[in-house]
Amino acid sequence: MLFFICNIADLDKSDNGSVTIYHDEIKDEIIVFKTSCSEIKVFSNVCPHMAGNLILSNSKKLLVCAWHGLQFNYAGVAINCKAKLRLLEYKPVIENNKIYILI
Amino acid sequence: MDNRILKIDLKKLADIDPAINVWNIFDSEHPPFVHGKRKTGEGMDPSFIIFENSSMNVTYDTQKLPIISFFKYKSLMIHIDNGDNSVTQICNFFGVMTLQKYSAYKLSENQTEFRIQVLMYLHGFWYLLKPFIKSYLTRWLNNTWIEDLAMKERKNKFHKLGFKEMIGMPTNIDARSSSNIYQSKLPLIRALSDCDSHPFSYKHHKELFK
Repeated sequence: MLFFICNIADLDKSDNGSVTIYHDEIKDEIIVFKTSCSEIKVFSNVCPHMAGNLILSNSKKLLVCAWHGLQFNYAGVAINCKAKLRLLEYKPVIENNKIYILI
Repeated sequence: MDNRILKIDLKKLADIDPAINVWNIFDSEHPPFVHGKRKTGEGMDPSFIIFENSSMNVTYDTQKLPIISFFKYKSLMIHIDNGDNSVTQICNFFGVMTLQKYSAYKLSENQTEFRIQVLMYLHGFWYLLKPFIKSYLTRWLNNTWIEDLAMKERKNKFHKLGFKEMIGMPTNIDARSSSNIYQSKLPLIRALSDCDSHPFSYKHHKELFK
């Protein structure tokens, strides 16, 4: 099933190149962004440590937890953490300049 | 009451599970990120855990004054989980003994009262500053409450949707129900090791007292 997230243009309009929304049907907060290779990435914006929100740092190619500073690479893997934590990743589908996720 | 004791009593309302109150206070990793730097420069530096068990911890905390934020003051802080969603905190910044109690009581299905009580024993010179300290500390507590509130509301929201610490959201959407109840379990699981890095951390005691 496809769930609409946002338009590709919304990413370009945002300050740091990411869009964060709470999706009522999916019951999750989603972060969408475009990597420097123009790849669209979609993750759950809920840090698996304690549920903090993530902030995109495109210059460092990281997602950083605003509560505890955990850093996740673009594969969704925590790189400064004692435990093996991984972000929940969604599969993006692009149609007519709109971003959907496939579940 | 002895008039050298300064008393502050704040009450706040929020739709948050009372157990999240305990989690928030015992989460020693968030202060530098959430309370690190306010507009006036005041805030909290990273906290070090010196000792902890399933009902209390002792942390070594550093805070910054407004405007002259290079001026930092430190204290050991003792946090005791009272087992009723309240935490007693004892600290000694500037040599002033301070006793605090953070409580949370469910008033109705979607309303919890959070109570912040502070008692400071102002001896000698500090007594003269009583009105100033009361005003400053009330502002500090209100700012800290606002910063923590966003955290507590988010934690509450995602726990109800099935979030599990160190795991994350359920991968199956159908498992994201709204019936989960949060229960804090001390000591909290920490993801970063910085909190334990103080040379006097209890994790180093065996080595120190060889």
